Amino acid sequence: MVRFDDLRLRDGTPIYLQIMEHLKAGIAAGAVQDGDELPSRRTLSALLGVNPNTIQKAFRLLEEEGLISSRTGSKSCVCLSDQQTQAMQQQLPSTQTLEYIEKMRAMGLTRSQTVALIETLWKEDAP
Amino acid sequence: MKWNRYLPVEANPTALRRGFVALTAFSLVCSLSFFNAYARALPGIEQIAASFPDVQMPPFSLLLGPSLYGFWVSALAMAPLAGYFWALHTRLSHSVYLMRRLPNRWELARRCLTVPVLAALFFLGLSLALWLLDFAIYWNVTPDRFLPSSLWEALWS
Amino acid sequence: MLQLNHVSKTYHLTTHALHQVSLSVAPGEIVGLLGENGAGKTTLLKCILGLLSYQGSITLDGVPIGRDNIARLSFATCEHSFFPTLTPQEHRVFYREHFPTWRDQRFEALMDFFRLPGNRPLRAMSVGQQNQVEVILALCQGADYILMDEPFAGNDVFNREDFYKVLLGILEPTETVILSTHLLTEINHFVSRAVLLWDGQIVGDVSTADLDEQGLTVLDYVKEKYHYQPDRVSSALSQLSGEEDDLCGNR
Repeated sequence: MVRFDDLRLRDGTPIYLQIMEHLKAGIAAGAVQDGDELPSRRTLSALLGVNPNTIQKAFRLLEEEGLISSRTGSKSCVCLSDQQTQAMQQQLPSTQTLEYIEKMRAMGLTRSQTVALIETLWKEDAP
Repeated sequence: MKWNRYLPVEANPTALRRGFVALTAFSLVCSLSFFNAYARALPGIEQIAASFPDVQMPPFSLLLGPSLYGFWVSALAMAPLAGYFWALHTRLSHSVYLMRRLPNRWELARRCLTVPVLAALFFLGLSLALWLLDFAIYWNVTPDRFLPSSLWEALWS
Repeated sequence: MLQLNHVSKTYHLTTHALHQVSLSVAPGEIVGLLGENGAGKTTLLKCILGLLSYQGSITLDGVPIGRDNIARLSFATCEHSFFPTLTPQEHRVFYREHFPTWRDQRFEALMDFFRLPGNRPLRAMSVGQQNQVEVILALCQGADYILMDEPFAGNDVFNREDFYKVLLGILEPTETVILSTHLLTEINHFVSRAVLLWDGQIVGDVSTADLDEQGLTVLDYVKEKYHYQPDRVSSALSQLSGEEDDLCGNR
């Protein structure tokens, strides 16, 4: 069962996007495998305190993207091919990095300054 | 007790029962005033008749006096009781919002009005019964020579 | 479908508690009825329930609200519509007798979940617990449309959060909720639609999905509406009086 307990909703981004991101992040991290079951819409709605329509929208879009499949009357499940998993593993870090680059640019940092910043800070946080 | 269905949900049946008994007792005590008045009038009139043979018994309504008032006061007291039953739904709580939403449209009216209406009818009925009893005594026990010839006249004197 | 058509409510010939309110609520919606105190939220809910007289029409699936369909509506209010001297269990008996659609299992489950004492008179409970029982009774009546008027006045935030989540978990697709509240931030994700009342009129009606798309919260939406409102009303009124004058041929 795909876990959503640790999903903390934030303001500013549509909820359905956050739900989709959470699933994709799970896929990229390897926590979510092909065939894993998703909680029912109602369960997820109650867990997150979010209207079922929003959950429905997220599931629908995920289905359109080919990441999950729903059968009426039963729970949806993740359906991933290896290619999809790989793509996800690459896509999510790329998206996040692009966002980060935009933010740095907005603050007036150059590429080399940003890279230098990463170098310095990453070493400090290395496990 | 099945009375609960005819009383507001929050009414106290024990207190109401006691109140009802108290009002009935009060009314019956009041009604003794006729018997008291009659018991004094009858021997008196025999005495007076020795000197004044044309003397008549005092009018029925005079002897009756306030003896039925107890019943009437009790009957009238049922109006504020109905008001109190209504207040239980609107002041004590707002259960009126629930009562007025029930599919059974008569539930609220039944609980607020049944007991006051029945009790009022009871008191009025009892007053009627006693009025008839008192007159029966007046008409039948009093010697004929002291009474008007027509029953009707004696009743409404 | 709950349909309101040009519903107006006037007090003392001059106070317009509601003015020409028209609204449709479809099954399954969770509608937040928003507005400041005195905007007409309570009046609107009471008119729907037939607790107040009004002009206009209010129908449920085309049929006016009457004894035959009144059981399809339930009500939970901060004023409390329960019997204070009775226990929750005694309320269960009463409701079961009067509402054939009573949901007994749900009642037990909710009383259990919120750890409410079933055999204590309601007046002996805290305000928070009383609110909870009031809402539970409205949820278990078996109604299709559950109307709630500021039901959580006096409950702490954790309590309320729990309730929104439980509601989302137990509500069936045929059950509709209309929740009047001024707690704009916390109902943001819970409701599917926000209807804003101002001075007895509907000045806003939006689905939260649309708001979500635009990155707006319900609070943002309400602020926006309130900001623009005075101008709109006064210009509309001057337009209206201009029309009337033409018809009368005076001035």
